[in-house]
Amino acid sequence: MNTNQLFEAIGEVAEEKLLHSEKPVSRSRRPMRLVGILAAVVAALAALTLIVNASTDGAMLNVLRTWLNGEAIQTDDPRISQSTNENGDDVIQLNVDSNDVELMAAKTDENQEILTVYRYRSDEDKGQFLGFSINANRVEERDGKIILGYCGDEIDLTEQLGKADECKVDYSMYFGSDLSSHVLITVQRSTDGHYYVFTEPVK
Amino acid sequence: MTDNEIIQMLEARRESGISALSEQYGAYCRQIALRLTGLPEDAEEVVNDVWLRTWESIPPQKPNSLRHYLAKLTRNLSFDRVRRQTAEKRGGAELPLVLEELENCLPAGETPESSLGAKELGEAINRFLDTQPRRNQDIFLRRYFFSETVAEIALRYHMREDNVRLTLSRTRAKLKAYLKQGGYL
Repeated sequence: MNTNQLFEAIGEVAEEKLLHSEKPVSRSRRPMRLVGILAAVVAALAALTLIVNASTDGAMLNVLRTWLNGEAIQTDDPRISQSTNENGDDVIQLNVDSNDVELMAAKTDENQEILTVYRYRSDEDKGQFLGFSINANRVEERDGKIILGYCGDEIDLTEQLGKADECKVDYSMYFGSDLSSHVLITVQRSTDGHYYVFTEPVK
Repeated sequence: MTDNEIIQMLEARRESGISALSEQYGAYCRQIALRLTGLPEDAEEVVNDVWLRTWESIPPQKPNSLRHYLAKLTRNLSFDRVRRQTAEKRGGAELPLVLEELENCLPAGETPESSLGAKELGEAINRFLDTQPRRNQDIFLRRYFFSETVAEIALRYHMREDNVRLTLSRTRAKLKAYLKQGGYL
């Protein structure tokens, strides 16, 4: 196969997928979306509350921080498992609540380290999701909160989620009627050592 | 005017169907063609070819989505046109960049032509996209179907450009693994 064939083959994708890719993506600050914003913020806060609760003993976030720092993790905690996925990513899975929240971090062979937080929503939340993007070059837990640091400034991630409309960092929220049944929050560390934190819908 | 009405006009061999197409989808097709060819005059010629090809193909064809039928025609005809041109004549279109990125989905070195048709490969890509989060599917198609620039995609999805590049890079790596596993590479 060559690139021309691949390009032509992409031209054969299903029309339903093209249609979806053309749907407008809304920004969060539209007043008419206020109810949706509030619902999404509540859901996100619920997810973070669970994360913070789970890490009150420091176990979860300590493991994560250790892993992100490239150090070896040694634990007998049954909620924590390590493996390699099909893409060869080094994966650590932290099950905060098997019915509700799952953390998964993948260290890829491209030297990108990724923390993924899955928040499975209840049925009534279906169809709503949120997304945002924050740059940071350090992440730490302090007083039960997740703190992101960037250029001498600090961002309280929990607070940012709670004050969506007042957020001053690079920030967006998205809503759709048929897109997602749960929220995906991703923290990526690029090769330059910066963290990128954002959420996205997951099928 | 609805798509069905336009299709009915074409089926009745009424030339006003082409005017209706041009009015309804002219700007849309021109935008796709311009991204791929890079030159307004080339884009204009591609769009005229699209109307001609549509006139010749409907009937017998009756597309479910006229918009995407035209998008596919525009993409294919733009691609053919750019391929025919010499490297010196090509404008600053997005196509060379798109093809260069897609090269990462293929093994390094010489890549012989596949005996598989575009349709069969397209079905494999469809199945692959089904395994990806919806937004990653959308970003992949905005880039590799519609040939939008990374900046345009970042604007559309309210993302940083480096996040768009990262998402595309990861999706390409996964597509490569998927095609390899399926015996397509």
